[in-house]
Amino acid sequence: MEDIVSDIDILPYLKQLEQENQEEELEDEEIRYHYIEILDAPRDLPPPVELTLKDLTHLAKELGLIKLCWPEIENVEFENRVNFPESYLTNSNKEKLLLLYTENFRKQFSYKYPNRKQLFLASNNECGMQKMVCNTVRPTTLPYPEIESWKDCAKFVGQGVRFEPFDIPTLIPNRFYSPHTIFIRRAGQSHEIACALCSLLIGLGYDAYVVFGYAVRDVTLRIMSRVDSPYPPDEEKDQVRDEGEDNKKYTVRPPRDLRSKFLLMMEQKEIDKIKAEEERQAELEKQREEEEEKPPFDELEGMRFHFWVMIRTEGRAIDEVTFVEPSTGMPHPVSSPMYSGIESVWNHLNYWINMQDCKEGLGSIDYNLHDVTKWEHLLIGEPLHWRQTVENLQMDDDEIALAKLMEEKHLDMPMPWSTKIYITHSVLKQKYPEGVMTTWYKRTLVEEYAPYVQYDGMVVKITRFKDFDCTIPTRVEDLYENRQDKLRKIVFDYNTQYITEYFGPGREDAVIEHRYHSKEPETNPRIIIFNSNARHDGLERIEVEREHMLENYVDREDLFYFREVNYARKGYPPPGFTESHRKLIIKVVEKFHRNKAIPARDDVATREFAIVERQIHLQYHFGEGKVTASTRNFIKPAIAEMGDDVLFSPDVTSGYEAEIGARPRRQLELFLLFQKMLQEEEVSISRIREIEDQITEFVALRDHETAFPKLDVSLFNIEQNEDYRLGMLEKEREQQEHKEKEIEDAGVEYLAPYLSKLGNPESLSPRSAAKIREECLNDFKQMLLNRAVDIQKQFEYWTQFLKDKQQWYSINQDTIQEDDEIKYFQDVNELTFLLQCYEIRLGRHRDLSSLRYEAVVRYLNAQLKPLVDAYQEEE
Amino acid sequence: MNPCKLKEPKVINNALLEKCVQEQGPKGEAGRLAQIEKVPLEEVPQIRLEFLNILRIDHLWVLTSLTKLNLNNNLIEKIENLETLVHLVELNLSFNKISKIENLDELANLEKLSFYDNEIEVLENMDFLTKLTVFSIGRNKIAELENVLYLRQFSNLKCLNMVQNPCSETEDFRLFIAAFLPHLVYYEYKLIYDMERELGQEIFGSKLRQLLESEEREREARMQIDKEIADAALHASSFVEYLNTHHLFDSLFLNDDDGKHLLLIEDAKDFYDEYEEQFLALCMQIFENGQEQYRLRTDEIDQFMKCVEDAQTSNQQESIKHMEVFIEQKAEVFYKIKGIQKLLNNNEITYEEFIDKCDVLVLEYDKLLHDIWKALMKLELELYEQMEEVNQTFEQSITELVNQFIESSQGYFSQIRDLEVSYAENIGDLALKFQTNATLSEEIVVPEILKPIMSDKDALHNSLATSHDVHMQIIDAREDTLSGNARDWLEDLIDNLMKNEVKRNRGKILEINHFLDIQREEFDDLNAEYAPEPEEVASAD
Repeated sequence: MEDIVSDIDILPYLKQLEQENQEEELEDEEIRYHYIEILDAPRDLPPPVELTLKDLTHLAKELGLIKLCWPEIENVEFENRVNFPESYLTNSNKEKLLLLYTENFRKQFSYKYPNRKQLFLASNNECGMQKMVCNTVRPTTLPYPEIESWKDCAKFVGQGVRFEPFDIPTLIPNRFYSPHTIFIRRAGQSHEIACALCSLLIGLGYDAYVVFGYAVRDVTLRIMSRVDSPYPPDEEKDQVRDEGEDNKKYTVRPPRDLRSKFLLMMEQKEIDKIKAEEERQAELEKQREEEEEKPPFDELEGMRFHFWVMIRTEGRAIDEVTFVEPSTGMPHPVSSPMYSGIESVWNHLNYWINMQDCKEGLGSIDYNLHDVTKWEHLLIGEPLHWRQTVENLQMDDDEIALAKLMEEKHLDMPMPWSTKIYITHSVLKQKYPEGVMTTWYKRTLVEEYAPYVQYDGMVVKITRFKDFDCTIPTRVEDLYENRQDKLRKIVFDYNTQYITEYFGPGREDAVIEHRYHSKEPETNPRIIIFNSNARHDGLERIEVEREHMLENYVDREDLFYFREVNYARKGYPPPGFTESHRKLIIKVVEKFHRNKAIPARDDVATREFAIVERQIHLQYHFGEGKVTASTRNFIKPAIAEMGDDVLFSPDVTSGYEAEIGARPRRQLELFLLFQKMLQEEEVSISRIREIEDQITEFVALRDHETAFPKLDVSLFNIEQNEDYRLGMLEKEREQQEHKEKEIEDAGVEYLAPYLSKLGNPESLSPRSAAKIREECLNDFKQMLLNRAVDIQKQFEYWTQFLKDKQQWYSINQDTIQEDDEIKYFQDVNELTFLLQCYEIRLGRHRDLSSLRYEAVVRYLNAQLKPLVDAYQEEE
Repeated sequence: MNPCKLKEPKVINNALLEKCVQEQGPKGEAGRLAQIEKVPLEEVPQIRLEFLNILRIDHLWVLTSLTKLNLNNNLIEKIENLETLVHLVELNLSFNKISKIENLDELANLEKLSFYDNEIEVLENMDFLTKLTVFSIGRNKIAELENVLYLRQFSNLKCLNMVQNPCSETEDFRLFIAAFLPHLVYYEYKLIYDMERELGQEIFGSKLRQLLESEEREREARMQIDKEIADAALHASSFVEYLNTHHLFDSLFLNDDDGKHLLLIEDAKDFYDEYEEQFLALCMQIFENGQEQYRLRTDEIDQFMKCVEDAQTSNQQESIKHMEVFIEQKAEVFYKIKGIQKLLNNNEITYEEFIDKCDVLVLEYDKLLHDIWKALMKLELELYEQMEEVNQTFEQSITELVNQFIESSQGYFSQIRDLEVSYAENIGDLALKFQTNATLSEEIVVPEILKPIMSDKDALHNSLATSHDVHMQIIDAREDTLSGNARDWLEDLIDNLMKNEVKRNRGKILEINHFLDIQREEFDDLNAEYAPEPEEVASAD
């Protein structure tokens, strides 16, 4: 307990001392009397403390001292890992040299710039060994195309590694784990994550650096609640109205306005007043919000250490110098207010100390590291490719060679001690530690999941809140991936209680949007939007309510674009009608676009089937420049009179003809039109019924898809593709079996049958052993003999066959066909080859027989010996 | 029946046509209506005149809107008297005795044509049937395979039947068709497979290639001519036709023999070349200026048209809005009237009450009519005034543009004239010098053709002057054409603008009044039954 107390006590003391020092210096120059006042003021010094070893080490750390002793480290255990490469446990001579050099540099630097904060130059690795920071950067290229660009790479590191804040924010960290370890732990402090990210970025070819500096409190603690979420709310797109250039020249003058100017003015005043009030309210609200969003006062502002990554433009192409925040993986411009100062930057080649004033913000300082007045560097002449050699023309070749040699003769960075970063593909796919990440952004809660972690394919859940404290939710957005039903997004709006589902292309019913009320879907309009290009009927939108249905169509050949259906209220059928299981249609209105190919008087614009009233109303299109359009009404005869042939009389129809002097329509034409409309009515009604069925089916299908979500798995996805994995496992198993079988074949027990004859005894008497040996050898001899005989027989058979063949040829030589002759020579060739083979086999058999026999003898002796020994022991 | 009677030839006459129309017309209720009304012959869309032993196509000119005509199984020998049937889409002349295809040039809409079982020997005279899609010429006497190539020009031809012709008896005729008619989809009503096409192309490869090459050449030549004509037409609308070519310059010397002869003098060619170069450059400038001005004018017209259209559409929309409101109000009044009529019929109100209420409604309706009339007329008046004003503005600026064009062109033409003057002077000097030299020394040989000109000084002066005059005249004439055409065009444009506006205005006012008349009539009809005398009401009951 004591130790900890003293450990903490010493901090404020030191700080105070430092502050007083500064104050004294400052006021020395400026206000003299103040200085005296300070001197006279009663001072509140803490009681002197006794310095222990621990205090001293702490002090050393605070001063950034580098240890120049090389203790042996043994029996390391770090987070269940015990095996570490040699480089983790010791410092090579070059590393030692580097550390000595660095310590020397540090001393000189702190002597020359006594007011500068200590430098962060070396720290202990996971094994407790002190290592130089530059050496910890380990450029690594990962073999994954997913993290090919710096943005992807930064995003991966920001998401995949959990951020651990520093214990004491104003002190340089006392540990520095290798990048490899960071990806094993999937957690680290800002300098470790920055170093890991820097290693990967350098591996990708970027000119990346770890930056050591100061940041605001929210950044150092990874508090995101004052940051806008990376998922901005979908704003209604402002329709950009492209009116083209107004050509004033021919624009007609508007008719004169004859209204009272005074009244207009008064009205305008009233409107302005209301507007001003609204604006004032909005302004107040905005102010309140800003107040709320302001970060709380931080007494350590500007003193909190932080590490991040800088990418300069000298490596792989990037537009400008950019910072990357390691805790989030987000890029920030150099002028970002998040960072308030830079002490130093480093990579695997060198270490640079910022000599510029950061008061004006980081946007104003120069990031040209070549400039030695602005950036002090640790190693001279590093990195190598920055050097510009000035060749002295007067030197001869030898001298040049010598100069070149001398140029190389200086200290450069040793090899990194850390091992290469290794990340498995499944870790890459998992994205977040444990596959989940929850972040509170400004008025937004974002829960991110890796694909295939959630059973329903959800990857992001965004909850938006009205207030800063996140208590009143306004909207929930769920994003999905890999859904078989192509569901991409579900939005729930708390104000309207509406659920909107968005789908990707590829659904059979071509639905792209579906809106419905969450509580009372029956009484509120349900809207379904289709991708009209994918549907053969060009349906674009359906809005359906209990007593109402609207359908919109686009790009149809028959120019039909709109239909409205009115239903009777359930339970209140119009007089003379009875209800069935179908909704009763009262009226259907259909609209058509103008068809330029036929005259306006024949082109129907709107047709209304008043089914209950038994009427049909047609309205035609307006002719060019016309203000009246033709109309036509039909009254349907009673149902009883509706046979195949309805009787037609002029009374059932009336209409207005817009075209003056046009030939009045003939009764026959009107009758045909009437007949056609009757048919169309039936067609329309059956279409409406179809659409109704489709809606019902769709709703049922959606329910099913929601209840039993299914996910698509790409053919190339090794981790999630179950079929593929099973196939692989099966293959592996087969290979294993095959191998085992081979091993089995090799280990045949020749003695087994003989021993089993004796009932597999544990031991054998020398006599029976000799007997078995004899038997076995005899059998083997017989086998060898049989094999030789067999080969001999085969040889003789084929020799005879060849002879017969040759004989046949010599007899028929003159008569046989050319084809047969060719075949004969082929056969002879084959046979001679076969016979040669037999000869060789026989020879080899003869040569090997004795060797084999001896081998069997040896084998038998070896096998029988333990049995005989066992027998003798028993004896 | 007498078999000879069956074979007796007939002629087409009104009675026959009417009979056929009636027989082939609609049946049932529609037929009844058709009979009452008597559809006039000029509106009949299709007719079948088959198995009638017709000898001669005649009297069909009455059926002006015919689209489908069947004349199969007759005794027709000559195609004739079909010129008036320009709407014809389908023509069936199968099973006749026609021996020559002719007189089809007017039937440009024809898509289906059948000559099955006739005596035709050559495919010809069908060049204007560009829409031809289905063509049947089976069982004829076509012997030459070359006839098939005639069908290559019909790019819409999809279906062909040539069965039982002398030329189609050969085994690979189908392959020949497949190769040479690449647009064709069906032959003898069977789909042509790609395989057949390839096979055909293999067999008739060399011939096909030759044909394709010659066709390509023809096409190119035709396109070249077409392009020239189109260019000239396009340039004519900018009034600078042929000024981008040598045309004008060549015409200077076309009828100027003396001028041509003078070029034979040594060094004259140099002057000529220089003159030509400068002349052409100026022509080109006129041409380019013309094109540029043309663009300006079309831009101006486009702008004007767009504005006018906008104004008219917005005016129309507003009128339509008024109209819609009116129609709603009208429906309301009608509904009320019907309501009180019903009350009267049911004796729920007395006739006096009915009349009182009616009067109120009549007044209301009159007011409605008056209001809508006023609103529509006001809008129309506004539009008319706006149009008048904008038309004036347009007239001014377009006139200005045209004048600008004419003036700038005149500037170029005067430069051309200057050129001509200096050229004439140069040539004159040269000729005089030449003449002097020729008279002084014998060494210089005067070309034979120049001798009459060079005979004496006066002759030379004369010929020089005529040559110059001819040139000047031609240049002046071209200038006059240019400015004349431009002015004519301008006048036409402005005249039409005025006329169209007046026409539009009259039409609109007529339309409004017509509509209101109809509305009034409708209302009167509605009240007619009830209005005049109470006795009638009683009798109606």
